[in-house]
Amino acid sequence: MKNQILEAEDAKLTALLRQSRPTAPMLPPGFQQTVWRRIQRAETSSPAFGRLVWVDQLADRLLRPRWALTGITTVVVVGVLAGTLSGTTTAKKAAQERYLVAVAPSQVR
Amino acid sequence: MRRSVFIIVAVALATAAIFLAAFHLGGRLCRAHLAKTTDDLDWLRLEFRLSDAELARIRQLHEGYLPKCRSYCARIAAKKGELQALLDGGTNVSGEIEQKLGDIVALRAQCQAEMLRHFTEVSHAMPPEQGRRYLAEMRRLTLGFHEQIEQSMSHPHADGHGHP
Repeated sequence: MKNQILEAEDAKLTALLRQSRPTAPMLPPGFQQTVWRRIQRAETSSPAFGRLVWVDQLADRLLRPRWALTGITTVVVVGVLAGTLSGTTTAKKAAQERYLVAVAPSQVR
Repeated sequence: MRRSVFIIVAVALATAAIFLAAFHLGGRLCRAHLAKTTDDLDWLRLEFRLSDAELARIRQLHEGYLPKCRSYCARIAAKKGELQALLDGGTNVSGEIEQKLGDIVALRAQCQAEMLRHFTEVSHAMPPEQGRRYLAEMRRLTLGFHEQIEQSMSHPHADGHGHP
């Protein structure tokens, strides 16, 4: 008897609780994407992130095969040219000294 | 972030290493190419861009001049040996020592005059502009050395050697 009364009250209580629970409003389409986009925008506009983002961009660029190949080629060409120039100067100096020793030995100079 | 910094540092180090290797290789190849010959006249050929005919004429002059130069050098060396013997024999500057010093100076002057004549002849065997450049360069390299010393000696603040 007592159990029957409790079950009836419980059903009533459940119905009341269902009524009192607020229903969630309908979200607009693409709500989640909009939220994430806003979070991302806020992060990129913060000063700390703005200062360091170029480091990531540069590292990312350096690892691209096209950039890496161009860079290596340029460094090799410039290095060989600079070395050749320096070598020519050194060889010319040595040749000049050889000529001077032949035509004007140190005791005459 | 840390990964990016590491990549940039690694790339910078690799770039420096590649540049140094290329620089070294370029210099080595160039020196190996230019040092193939041990010709005394290589410098003239490289610096003054001489034709084969001009170089042949200069070689003739050069080979004619070398025995004269060697003869002067031998005479100067002999006189210096005599002077050294006199200096070793006493502590005073005797008349004989003065005479030897005068002889060395006179011989050196004759040798320098011969050398300048040779430079002039060589300059005439070159195209005019190159000849002028050669002559100026040779005068600077051979006689300029003495001028530098004399200038430094006559400078009033030169280490106690100043002359008023």
